[in-house]
Order: sequence, then structure tokens, then C-alpha cells
Amino acid sequence: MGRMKIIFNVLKTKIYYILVLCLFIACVEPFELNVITTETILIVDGTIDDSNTDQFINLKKFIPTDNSNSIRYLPETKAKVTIIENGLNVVNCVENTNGYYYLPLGFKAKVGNKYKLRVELADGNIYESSDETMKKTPPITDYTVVFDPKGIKKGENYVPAHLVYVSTKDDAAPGDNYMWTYRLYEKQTVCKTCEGGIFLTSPAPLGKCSTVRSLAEDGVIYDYRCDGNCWEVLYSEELNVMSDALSGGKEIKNRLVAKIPFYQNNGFVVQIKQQNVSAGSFQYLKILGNQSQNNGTLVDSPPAALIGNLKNIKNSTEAVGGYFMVGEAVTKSIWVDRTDTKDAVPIYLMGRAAVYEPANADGSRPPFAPCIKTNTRTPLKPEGWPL
Amino acid sequence: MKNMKNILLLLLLSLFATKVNAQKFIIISGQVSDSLSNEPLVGANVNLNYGEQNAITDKAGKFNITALKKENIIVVKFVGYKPWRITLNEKNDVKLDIKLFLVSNDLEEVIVSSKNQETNVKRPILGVNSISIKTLNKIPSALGEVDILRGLQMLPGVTSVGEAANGVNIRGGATDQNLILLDDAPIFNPTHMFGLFSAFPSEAVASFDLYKGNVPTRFGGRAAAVLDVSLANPSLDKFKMSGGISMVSNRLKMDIPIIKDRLGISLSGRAAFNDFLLPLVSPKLDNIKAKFGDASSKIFFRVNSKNTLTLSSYGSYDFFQTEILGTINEINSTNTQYKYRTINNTLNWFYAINNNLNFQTKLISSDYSPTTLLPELNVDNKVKIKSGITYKQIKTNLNYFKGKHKLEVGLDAINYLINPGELDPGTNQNITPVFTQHENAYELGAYVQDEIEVSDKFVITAGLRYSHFLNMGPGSYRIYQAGMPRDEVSLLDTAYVNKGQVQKSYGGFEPRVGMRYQLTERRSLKFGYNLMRQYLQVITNTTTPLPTSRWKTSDIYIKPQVSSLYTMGFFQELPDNVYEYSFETYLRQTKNIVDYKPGADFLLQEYPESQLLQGKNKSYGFEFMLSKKKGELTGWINYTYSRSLNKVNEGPTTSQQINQGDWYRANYDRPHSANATVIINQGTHHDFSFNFTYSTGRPFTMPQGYILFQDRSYPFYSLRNNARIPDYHRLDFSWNIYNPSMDPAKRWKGNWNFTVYNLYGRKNAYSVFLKNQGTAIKAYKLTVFGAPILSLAYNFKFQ
Repeated sequence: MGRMKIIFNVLKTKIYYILVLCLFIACVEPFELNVITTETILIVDGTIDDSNTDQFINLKKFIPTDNSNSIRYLPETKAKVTIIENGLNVVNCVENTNGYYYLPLGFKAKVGNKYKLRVELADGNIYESSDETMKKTPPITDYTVVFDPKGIKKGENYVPAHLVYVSTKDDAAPGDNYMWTYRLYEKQTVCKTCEGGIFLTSPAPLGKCSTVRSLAEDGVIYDYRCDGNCWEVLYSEELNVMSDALSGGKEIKNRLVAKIPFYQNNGFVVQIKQQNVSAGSFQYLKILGNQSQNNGTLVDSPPAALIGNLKNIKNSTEAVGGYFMVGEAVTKSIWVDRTDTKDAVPIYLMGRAAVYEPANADGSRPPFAPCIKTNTRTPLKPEGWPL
Repeated sequence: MKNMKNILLLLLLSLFATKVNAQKFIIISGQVSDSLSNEPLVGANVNLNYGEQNAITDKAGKFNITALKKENIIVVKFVGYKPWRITLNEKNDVKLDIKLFLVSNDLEEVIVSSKNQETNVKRPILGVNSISIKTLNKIPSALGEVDILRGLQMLPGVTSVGEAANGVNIRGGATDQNLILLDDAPIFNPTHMFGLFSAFPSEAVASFDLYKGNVPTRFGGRAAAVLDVSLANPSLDKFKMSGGISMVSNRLKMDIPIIKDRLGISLSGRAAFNDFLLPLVSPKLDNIKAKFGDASSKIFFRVNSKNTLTLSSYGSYDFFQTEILGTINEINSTNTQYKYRTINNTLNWFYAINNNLNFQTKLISSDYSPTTLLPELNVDNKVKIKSGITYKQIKTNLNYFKGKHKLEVGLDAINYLINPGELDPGTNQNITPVFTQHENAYELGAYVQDEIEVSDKFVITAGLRYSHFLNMGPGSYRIYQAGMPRDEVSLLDTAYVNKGQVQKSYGGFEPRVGMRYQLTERRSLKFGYNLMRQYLQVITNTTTPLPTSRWKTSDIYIKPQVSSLYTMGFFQELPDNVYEYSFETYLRQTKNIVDYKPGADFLLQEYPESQLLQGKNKSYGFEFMLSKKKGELTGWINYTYSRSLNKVNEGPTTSQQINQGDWYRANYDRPHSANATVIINQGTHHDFSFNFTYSTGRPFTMPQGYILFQDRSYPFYSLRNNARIPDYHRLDFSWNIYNPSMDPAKRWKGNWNFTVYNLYGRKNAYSVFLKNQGTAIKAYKLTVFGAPILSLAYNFKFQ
């Protein structure tokens, strides 16, 4: 009996030891790295598909700096941007602002057609992409949403999250490469936040924050409720691509496509977009992902030069950033009511609970703030929202 | 003046003493003399209780000390002699007769030399290092596990990419350029738990030699170095048992004589299987799983006075689940688990034909099979990716000693059967099983080597090895357009090779020469030249190979690596053979080193030639080593300057070049490194030791710009290995207490080992990387052991 106790004690000591060890082994912490950039890089960022949304090509130039804290891009303006369909039809893009070149309204790429991007910069340099064929994307056949109290790892801690898995049926022919992205719609109740001041509705329609000295001195922050329904739009932050090399023609089951943090007790809609992209784009995104989000393991591959599909027709060795991508978009909107979160604590959209300006006696304050439609906010009820 | 001080002290002491008790003093007197000549030693220092009092011996070697009646410790020291100490508990006056031993008469403590008793100065070849197992047991080790690979890294010219390195880099070579042998059988994965512990059964190892300069011609097949580890022979006359418990593992070794002086077996095992209890301690740990174990046995049979047979076996097993090794993108799983095992056997028949001639034949097999397991969501199924190497070898050699010659001739033949990878989906109907073409290859060798004593001063070791490699069918290979990058675009056709036919063969001579010129009795100059050919390599583009990394034999596209090494050295022993120092310098040029295209992926890859590029490596360096081999303080200190640079330029297109075809730093290029190991022997009951190690941070790739994808910034890399992570340094401490019961007659002897690894808790970077976090890009540092790690181990011997 005594011996058993000794053995148990030895085991217990070892367990504590391994526990302490695990806390020390392989820890990741922020590092002061002075990145001195040296190359000016032309960036061509554009993906076209068959969706109803606006489609554009973004032209920027990365400007090197020896200040590692800032990343500086300059828009490439006055360029001539065209898309050539099947080597015949030339579609001209129109410059909007800041290097964004929009395709004509209503433009939809068609499955089976080939698209080439041609960019002529103001300085006369001409860049062309390889021909990219728009491939058919199979529908999302099924999905699963699982709540995981430790869904997202942030440093040494975990954030509770809903994990969204989708399934699809891969086409029998080999060479399909899938990319998943998502848009998340969260009910937003706060449409304006004023730091050290209060919100005034004029000038309409945006209103403004007006500084109040006493509030500013005390560092007071006030939030203001939306004047109607409002949704925050958030986008996927991680690259997610997969080839059908191992699933050739069968069902791709339970691909993890989104980790939605437990922002609030309200439900959410996540719109999953699935695209069948070319082998070249897949390779590009895979490397991009490996050296920016899947790294930090003990066995990282050394990052390497990314070669995209655009080339300067006069100087093929010039490094051009970005990839011109084409892929049919298939979307699925999923409503999750978040009733399965049990005792988990939400992390809030703003990272904190709302603090509203206290109501005054006559009820004239606080005012409501308007929900202005932007890339990240919308008053329009998203597809799939139940009520 | 000194006497005055003593008198004052005595007066003070007596004042104090009279107050307490008048009968509190004793007189310790004695004579100090040389242990052999019995000559009195004049001026020896006699120290009471570490500095309470000091006395100097007079002309007759005598001294007198008045001390309090309590436990007194006397230490006597004299230049050139080993210190002498005693603990007294006498109630009356005591007279001591003290014999001091000359340090130079002391047996050399073999700390850094080879297993034969030749000293470094005399040995005719260069670049051979070893650490005795006894020393290895004394110096600090990580987590109390005695570790050959970590010990080796205290020697000059041996580095690694960091604490979680799955192997070591020797003189600018990659980890797979080292041939690691355990009783002649190759070890393909030398570590447990991904580099944390070396896979050798430390309890059972008798000795090891590292050949990083001249490599004897009996070894072949790898380009950089050979680590030759031998298991101890079993005891033939006495049952012995030894073992230990450390914070990590439990060890046991037994020597069982079966027929006295003729047949014996030794068995040893080590296991760490405690992880299943982790979740009970904290639910935070339920995701960590780690178990490992290894076992060895050796049977020795003396058939008659001329023939002996030995059978050595070794097995190792690992299982771990972790997030820190990444995952496999194409399979949807909840986790990644690694499982791998090695089974090795060596049968050795030794036949002593006469005193000058002996003959040895060995049959060797090694089987290494790693598996990656991918558990699936919501179903009880694991997708498996299996691979494996089966190695078989026959080796025979004849040794002849006569007059000024030591001649060795031999033949060997190796068969490699490699399964590069197969995917077993288990019950998952949606994953296609994948099989890759197995590899079957032969490596044949013939060699001769003679050590000739040309004169008293000049000894030459000249050897020649011929190796021939055959990559055999059945199988197919692709034919690409000449001069083009090997990819789908340049693919022309597929060719087939039948069973028994040769797909591709390579071969060549491997000259090996070592020369020693004795400048004086204690000083020598050496030169060496070595050529080695390597037909089997790990292909992986990670910083250090994974246990599951793929081994690949040379084929029609992957040419063998050929390395030429030129070395020169100067060796000097100081009088009494207490100190020894050496300078060595080398230049190594390797053809056909393997490096990788951006985004190379070898998992289940049928055509690895499409993912890799071959080029050349240039490594050079300078090593200085000073060791103190005898006395109360032993140890060594060394400094190495070394560089390892690669150049890859297969053709004019960017995908055929790395860094635009210019020279670039290898992943393990660390120009400066310095190590110091000090062992302070405090008599027979305990010793202390320290390790200090420093090296330049290894290279990593820093972005040269940023690009956008879907409006999000990503780092843009162009030149490989253009920056360095912070320098590495660390101090370790260990304290050994032997036989605490103090009874030398006991058959059971225990000792405790207390170790602090990374004493000052430096958070050494293993890697530095940039990562996208939300919309920002942040730099991070990954540390493996970021704090002092204390460990305690108990070891015992029963004999």
C-alpha cells in the first residue's frame, strides 16, 4: 500500500513537472523586428467571378521604407486596364479612385471562358496575365456548425467560437482547386462611438462627435444606438484553399471554412463563398498562406519569392505582386442562433460592452446614430437573416 | 604578519571558547609528503573549514592547527598535486600522515578523445571527437536525460538549427549528410519527441566516435560525417543492474551472464508514458500527447578462443500529438499525430585467425516506419499516411597488423527498399487511397585502407573506397524537355523499367588520406583529404526534417551528393599531459546538394524531381579547442568560425534558381560558436559541472516588401536567408551526488543528479517569423526552452 502511494506520488510529481514544462516549451511571443524593405513592387489585386457585386481590379505600388511599422502603398492611377475574354472580347475597366479600376456594371464572367488581364501603366510598362479559365464550382451540399469554447487560439488563451464546416461534391475530373472565403453579418446596436465628447446628429446625414472638455479630460467614451436595424460586416481573415488531389471526384467532407468568435449572444449569418480556382492560383495562395498564417511551427518552410501570373512583357524577371484570379462563386448563407453557447462569455464586437450616454431628464439625449452603408456596415437585412 | 593574524584569531577563539567550555579545542597536526617518493612537501597549503584557518607546511612538511572540537574539514593543496581532503570528527588531538598524488601520475580522465588510448597528438587522422559516457553523465543535460546529440553540440564544428532540431549539422553539412550508426545499423531518425531527446539508449551505450574530418574507408554513403555509437557488451561474469528515474523517463539495464565467461545478454529499456494523466491535472493539457520509449539488447557469445558472435538489437517508438508541427491541408482533420518506430538488428561474427589477422562479417537490418495520423471530426477514424525504409546490409572485412602496417580491406552491400508514402483513408470513403512508387536500390562498396608508419615522425593513413549505386526497377519515370524546368509543361513522356533492370547507376572512387607529422614529442601537424558520395537523402524543405520526412535514393534526376573535404590541424600537448590544444581548419565542397523550389511539397509526391533543385555547397571553417584532461577541474573550451553557403542555378528561369543563382547562406550557417564545459570534481561523492554555449543566430528570410491580396497585406519575400535571428547563448549547471550512503562496500550504489538547463533563463529564439493577425502583420519569436528548467534524476547501479 505504502509502495503504491510512493509510485503515485512519483507519478504526480512527474505530471506537475510535465505541466510546468509544457508552459515553457515552445512559447511564441511578439518580437521587435526592424523590417527594412528594399523593393518597389507593382501589385495587381483582382478576382473576377459571376456574382452580382461590383467587380474591380486594384492597382497599387508598394513603396519601400526603413520604418518597419508602416506599410506604404501608392495607388497606380491613369493606367489602362482591360480584360480580354477568349482572346477576342476586350472589356475596358474604368478608373474610379485610388487605383481601383471597375469592370462595367453587370459584368459576369462565364464558366468555360478564358480571361486575360492586361495593364498598361502611365509610364508605358505593359503587364499581362496568363489566360485564366473560369471553372465550374460545385454547390455546397451540407454544413455543420459546432460551438467550441476553445475555438480560436489567441496567444496562450482561447476565444470561444463557432466552427463552420462545409461539404461539397468534387467534380470527377481531377485538377479542381477550391478557395473559401466568408462574410459575417453580426447585429450591430452601436452605430457611433465618441471619445471625449458627445454625438450630435447634425450635420445630416452622418452627424458628428463634438468634444466636451470634461469628458475628454476623464477619457470618457460614449456609444450611441443605431437608428434602425444595422449589421456589421466582417470578412474572413485567413486564406483557405485546398486541392482535390486526395479527394478526386468524391465528397469533400467537413472542411473547416470559418471560425466565428463568440462576439455576442445575438445570432449571426455567415455567407460562405466557395470558388473553383486555377491550379496556378491555388499554388500561389497556398504559398501565401504558408508563409503568413500557417507558419510559426518548429518546421516552417523558409519563405520564398512568390511568382504570380502577371508579367511585364518587356522584362519577365520583374517581380509583380498579386494574382489575377477567375472562379465561379457559389455561396451559402448560414444562420446560427448561438443558443448553444452555455456559460461562455462573449467577447463583444467592440472588444468591450457598450457604454451609452446617460439619458437626460427631458429625454432629448442621447440621440440615435445613423447606420451608414459601407464595406463593413449595412442597414440592409442580409440574406438568410430569419426575422 | 600571517602568524600574527593566526595568533590573534586563536586568541579570539580561545576567549570565545573559555566562555563556553574550557575543553573545546583539539590540535590537528601532520606531515605532508609525496605519495611515491615520500619526500616531505614544503610550503603546501593546509586549509581548515574552507578558510577559517590556513597553515603552510614547514621544512619537514609538517603543520599544526588548533581547531574547535566539532566536525572539521581539512583540505591540503600543493601545486602540481591532486588536492587531498578529509572530514574529521575527532574528540582528541589528531595526527595525520598525508600523501599527495602528482597530477601527472594520475590516470587521464578521458573526456574528449577517442576510444583507443591514443592521444589526439599521436593519432594519424584528423577531426575525430568523442566524449566519454562518464563525462556525458556528469555534464548538464536537458531535463535530466543523458543525451549524446546534445553533448556533441558542445564540441567544435557541431551545431544545430536550434533546440528542437531533429539532428545536428557538422562542419556545414545538412542533418542527413551524417551517417548515424548504432552498432553498425543506421538510425534514420536520431531523436525522440521531435528533437527534445536523442534516441540512443544512453544506459546501454559504451562509447561513440564522431568522424568529422578523416572518415575511415569502411564507412560510406553520407557526405559530411559519421557518428559511430557502440552498445556495451554484456558482462560475462557478474549480474549487474543499473537504471534510473528522471522527471521524464524511467530506465533500466541488466547484464545477465548465462554461461560464465562465454555467453551473456544485456537488456536495456527506457520509457516515458505518463502523458495520459495530463488532462487530470489541467484540462488545458488535454491536447498534448507524448509517449516514447526505446530498448536495446546485446547477446555476446564466445564460441571458442577464436570466434565470437554478437547480436545487437534496438527498437524505438514515439507517439505525439501537437499543433507546433503544422498540419496537412488536403485532409480535413481535428488534429495531427505522429507515430514512428525503428527496429534494428546487427549480427556480428568475429574470427581471429591469428594475432595479426582477423576477419569480421556483419549482417545488418534496419526498419524505420513513420506514420502521420489524422483523426476526423465526429467519426472514429484516423486517416493514415504511412512511409518506411527497409535497409539490409552485409559487410565483411579483414584486418591485418604487421610491423609498420595496419591494413583493412572490406566489401559491403546495402539494399534500400523505400515506401515514399501511402495514404490509407481508413473508413473514410471520400478520400482516395494513394500509393507512390516504391524505390529499390543497391549501394555496393569495396575498400582498402592502410596505416603506415613511414618513420617515427611520419604516419600516413591512405585509403580508397569504391562505391557503386544502382536504382532498380520495376517502376516508371518521366522524361522532360532538356534544359527546361521539370514540370507539367516540359513533360514529354513516361518511361518504364522492368523488375531487375537498372533505371540509373552512379559510382566512383572515394580517396581518403590522413597524414601526421610529429614536430616534437608533444606537437604534431596533420593533413587530411576525404571524398564521400551520398546516394540517399532526406528531401524536405523545412528548417529541420520532420520524423515523417521523406528519404529518397538517387535516381535519373537526383544526382548523388559528392563532397570533398580538405583539413589541416595543429595539435599540442602541454607537459604532464594535463592540457591539450588544437587548431583545425577545413574546406568542404559538395556537389549536387538538394534545395527546394518555392512551395515545394513532397507529401505523397510521385515526382519529387519537379519540386527540387540541385546546386553546390561551400563550407569552410576554423576550430580551436583547449581541453584540460586531469585534475580536480577538467573540461574544455572551444571556438569555431564556420560558414556554409549554397548556390543553386540549374537554368536561366527564375524557377530554376534560388536567390538569382548567387551564393546564399545555408539554413544552419552560424559563423561564430563557442562552447565551454567545466567539471569540478569534488572527491568521490560529488561533482559540479557547467556548460556554456554561444552561437550566432541562424539565418532566416526577411520580407523585402509587402503585397496585397483581396485588399489585405502580406509580406513579400525574395532573397532567401537575408537576415539572422538573435544570437543563441545558454548556461547549464549540474550537480551529481554519488553514493550518498557513503558505504563503498554496498552492492547497491545510487546517485542523484540535479540539473538546471538554461540557468539564466534566456529566451533564445528558435525562429523569427511574420504572421498576419487580423489585418495587421506582426513579428514573433518562437522559443523552445524559455526559462530555467530544473530537473532531478536518480540513478543506481547494482553489481
